[in-house]
Amino acid sequence: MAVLALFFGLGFSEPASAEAGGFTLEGGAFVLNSFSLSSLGSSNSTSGWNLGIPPTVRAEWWTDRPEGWNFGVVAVPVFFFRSRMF
Amino acid sequence: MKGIVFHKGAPATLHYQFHNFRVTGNYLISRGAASTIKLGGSIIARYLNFDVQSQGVSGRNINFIAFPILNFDWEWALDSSKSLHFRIDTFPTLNGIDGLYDALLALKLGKELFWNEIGIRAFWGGYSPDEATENNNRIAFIGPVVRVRF
Repeated sequence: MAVLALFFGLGFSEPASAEAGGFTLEGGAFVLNSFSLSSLGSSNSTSGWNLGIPPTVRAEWWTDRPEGWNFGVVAVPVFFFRSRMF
Repeated sequence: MKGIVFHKGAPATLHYQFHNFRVTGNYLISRGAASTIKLGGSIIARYLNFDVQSQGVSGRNINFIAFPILNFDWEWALDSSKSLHFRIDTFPTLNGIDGLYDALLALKLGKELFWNEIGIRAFWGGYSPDEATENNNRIAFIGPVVRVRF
């Protein structure tokens, strides 16, 4: 319930200004994933990595103009570490 | 990883980074009673760093690249306070294998400037494994996300 309260409470707080734009934060988990590396046409080099369930986060800022052009910036950090047997 | 040989059955570790930053401009091209469509483009800058190590042998690739991608944003109002939202940033390719695809399908709760979203993010792309380049990397990620507007 605390998570839901945070989710709805933060999201429906009033932005400073429509023209000034607003921030969006995104979080989640990639429950389905595949990852492979290959080199020089060797198609089976390192497929089958088990990544578990890596988290995903991103931060966005967008203008809020109702017409015409809008602009945004999006930052997506992606990092993970895994070990396996070849 | 040219010239590097990893042995089957050996333990290996992978450090992988694919940080990316994009600047997007999109234009409202259609506003109907229930639907709005925006179309535009982004410049995406991405930093790739992967390091595969096994039994003292390391295969590493680091590079930075910036390139243009398409942006498509569609929103369909379900009622006065809920809508479906689809957004994709993509560098599409004819064979559907290469390229970059970053798509969101979400239920938006709220309206105008006061909303949150819950949905599914799909992020996939890379190079065809048949291409004889030195390093090919392919990723496909799908999962649930929540989005909070401040």
